[in-house]
Amino acid sequence: MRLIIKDKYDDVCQYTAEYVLARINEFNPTAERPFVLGLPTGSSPIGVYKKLVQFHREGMLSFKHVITFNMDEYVHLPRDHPESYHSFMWENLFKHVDIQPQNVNILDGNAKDLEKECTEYEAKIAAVGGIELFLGGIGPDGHIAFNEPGSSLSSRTRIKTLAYETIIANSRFFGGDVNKVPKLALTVGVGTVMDAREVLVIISGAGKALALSKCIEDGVNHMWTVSAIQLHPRGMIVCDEDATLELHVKTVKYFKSIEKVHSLLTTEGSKVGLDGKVRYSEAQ
Amino acid sequence: MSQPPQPPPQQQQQQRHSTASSRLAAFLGYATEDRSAVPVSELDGLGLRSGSKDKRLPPSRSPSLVAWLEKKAALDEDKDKEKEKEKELGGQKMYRTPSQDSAVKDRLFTNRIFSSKPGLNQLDTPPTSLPGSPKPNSQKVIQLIRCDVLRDGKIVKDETLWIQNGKFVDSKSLFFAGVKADVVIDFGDDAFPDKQRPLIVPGFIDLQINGYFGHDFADTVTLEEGLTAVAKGLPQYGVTSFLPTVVTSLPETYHDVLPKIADYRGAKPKQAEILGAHVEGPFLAPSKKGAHNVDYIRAPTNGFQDILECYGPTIDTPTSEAAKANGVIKILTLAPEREGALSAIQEIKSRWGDNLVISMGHTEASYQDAEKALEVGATMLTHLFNAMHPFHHRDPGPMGVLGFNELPHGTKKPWYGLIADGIHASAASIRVAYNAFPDGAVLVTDAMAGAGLDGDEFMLGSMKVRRKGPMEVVIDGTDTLAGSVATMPFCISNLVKFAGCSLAEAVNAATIAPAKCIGVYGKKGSLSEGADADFVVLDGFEEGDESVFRVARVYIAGEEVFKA
Repeated sequence: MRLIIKDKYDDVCQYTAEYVLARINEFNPTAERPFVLGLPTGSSPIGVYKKLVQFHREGMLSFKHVITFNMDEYVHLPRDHPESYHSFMWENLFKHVDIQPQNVNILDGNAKDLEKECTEYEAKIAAVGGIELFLGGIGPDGHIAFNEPGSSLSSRTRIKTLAYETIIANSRFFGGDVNKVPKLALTVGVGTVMDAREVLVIISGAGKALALSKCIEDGVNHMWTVSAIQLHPRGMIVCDEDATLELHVKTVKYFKSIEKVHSLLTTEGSKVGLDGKVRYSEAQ
Repeated sequence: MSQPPQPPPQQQQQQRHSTASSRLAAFLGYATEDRSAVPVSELDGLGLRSGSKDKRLPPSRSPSLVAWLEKKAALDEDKDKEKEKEKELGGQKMYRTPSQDSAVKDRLFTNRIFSSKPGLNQLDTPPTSLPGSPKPNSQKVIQLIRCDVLRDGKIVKDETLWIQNGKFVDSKSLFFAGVKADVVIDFGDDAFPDKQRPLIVPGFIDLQINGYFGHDFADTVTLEEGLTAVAKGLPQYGVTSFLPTVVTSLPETYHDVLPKIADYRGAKPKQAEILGAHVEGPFLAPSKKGAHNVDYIRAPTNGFQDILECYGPTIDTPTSEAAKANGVIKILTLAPEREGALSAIQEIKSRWGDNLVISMGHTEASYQDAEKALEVGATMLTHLFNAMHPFHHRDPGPMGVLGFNELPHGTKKPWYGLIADGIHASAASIRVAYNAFPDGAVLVTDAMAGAGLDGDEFMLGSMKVRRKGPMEVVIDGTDTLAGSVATMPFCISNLVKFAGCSLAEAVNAATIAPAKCIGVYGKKGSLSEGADADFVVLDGFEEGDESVFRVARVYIAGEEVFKA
């Protein structure tokens, strides 16, 4: 796992957006071989989306052959409700870029058969060949997507009841009325996220510091579901200084030194690829 | 036997993806479920793929396999259609004529196996289109991406607009329904030069045009020809809707012209839309006649009776709500201080409500007269400053009404037309008026027959006029201005220069303000959901000078009608 520590939230977003840009352009997606991207919602990725839109506006990044899968969606919330995740993705990303509508996949919380919807979602992911890069955020309790503490680490896309604290926290978007907040959500499972070929988690702010320390320094535990990233062959966490407040000094120094070496090596035409592994190419 | 070969024992490992082999399978792209158990039509029901006719499977297979499946799907549809036809014919089989048979030279493997009929060579038609004519332009779904648009008067960057059936539609619902656009226009690429992103604005609306390109709307003989020529020629200036204006004439002229304009209304392809008529006169003040014929000018002494006699049945009491909204006269300019004018205004307003705008123009009205007229229902001032009482510090004239925060008796401040060609009013006057009431400015050209032409002498109604300067036209033998030959982009550019406003605000005065004035905002003058897809692409901007721009492209109902 790579842990990249940046100074502030803006730097985190800049690094993540540049990484996504480099990954997509290196992959060079075409109609037959599209780039499959997993996308999160919430406050952390908003800065990343803004920067991706900026890259798109400058012509550096095209979403024409990118297929996206979102992590979650509320159940029985109308799709055009301003707080639904469809609206969130529309306002923050899809409205501004040239992604094709048939390449966008978001769980439908108003489907007649919700379980079937979840199974179909898994089938769709498999049908396009699996997710190449899954972006994600983390909650203060260490959850990824809506996989609250106690979720199985091998779970798949399913219906999930929201924790009471999550409902209270989300009520601010629904006019402060707890009864208006949806109690159920469809979410990808921990297993689904870890099945992606690469996982990138964005962690920022002091409120996530404890979660980060439990996920990295302690063992794999279903109470902190992001800790499953320890078993992923190609996981990456991008965080800011505030989020490292609960980590050991040794951990922080170690990862900073690794990344220093990495940044010295990854120049254009260098032997070291984006993932830190040696790349055997014609360029010597 | 007929099943395609299944990947080795993956079916029972549906849920346990923690094993390396199932992860490998997922990585390599094998389906982890028995796909043949899910019929293709079930996937359609989720509504996340494009329309019901498209039965393509998700792009998981090799391209040749995908193509094979598409052709099979198209052929299956044909088979179903044929079966239906056979049922219609009462069980008779459909026979192919020899010419259709022999048309197929190399019958490919797929045709021979999956087609029960020897006929049509399916490989020439693209898989997604069914046999039949391609979609007409008006039904196409058009997506405009990477646009900077003027939305509700403000510039918004990086927007996507969707057009369907010639109107703007809610992009979000169309997007998530998985509708695929027929045409995608990308404004962020090199098709638009000058690296700076072009700006998309609603089509301009001109509320006062007396004629253009040598045609005059008061000329009854060539009226239809004139309307067509002007409607076809205006889009090059970005004007997508207008009101033909009929100057002071005899009642016979109005009786003839107004029904013809009424019939000509409505959206026509590749033409600016005529929204109705603006009748200017004959109930004006003779001392402020401007270029109107003084012999025909009179007072409406009998109130509404005179109005009815003059304009004809088109202004008679509407019989229903629909008729009210469908009246041909949209603006009526008169001088409110004349005898009988105030009662006439009251009568007209009581019959037509907001559907007919009463405008004060060519008038000797003092400030008090103007206030009274506003109280009884006038809502507009025709070409402010021209042909009206000038501003005097003790008697401000009609312009005085622009100065209040709120007028007495709860009347609202009126819209006011501005001819911003630099000749009809000086830059300083326009600046004062605009800054007094920016939201009420309505840019009009008041163009006459000479506009758009290069000649030196024309007829305006029954008056002869001549050109005095490049953008200046006067009545022959005098120095009185005879209407303008300005174009709308010229006026917008001038408003930026004279009033010191931004380009967005100046464009608002040519789009939102006129639309709201005559009550068509929402259908015209807007890029929001439900509005007609009439829009203009501006480019050629200059850093530091907001008045510089160029009309690059003009679209009417989603179709491109002009390209610079």
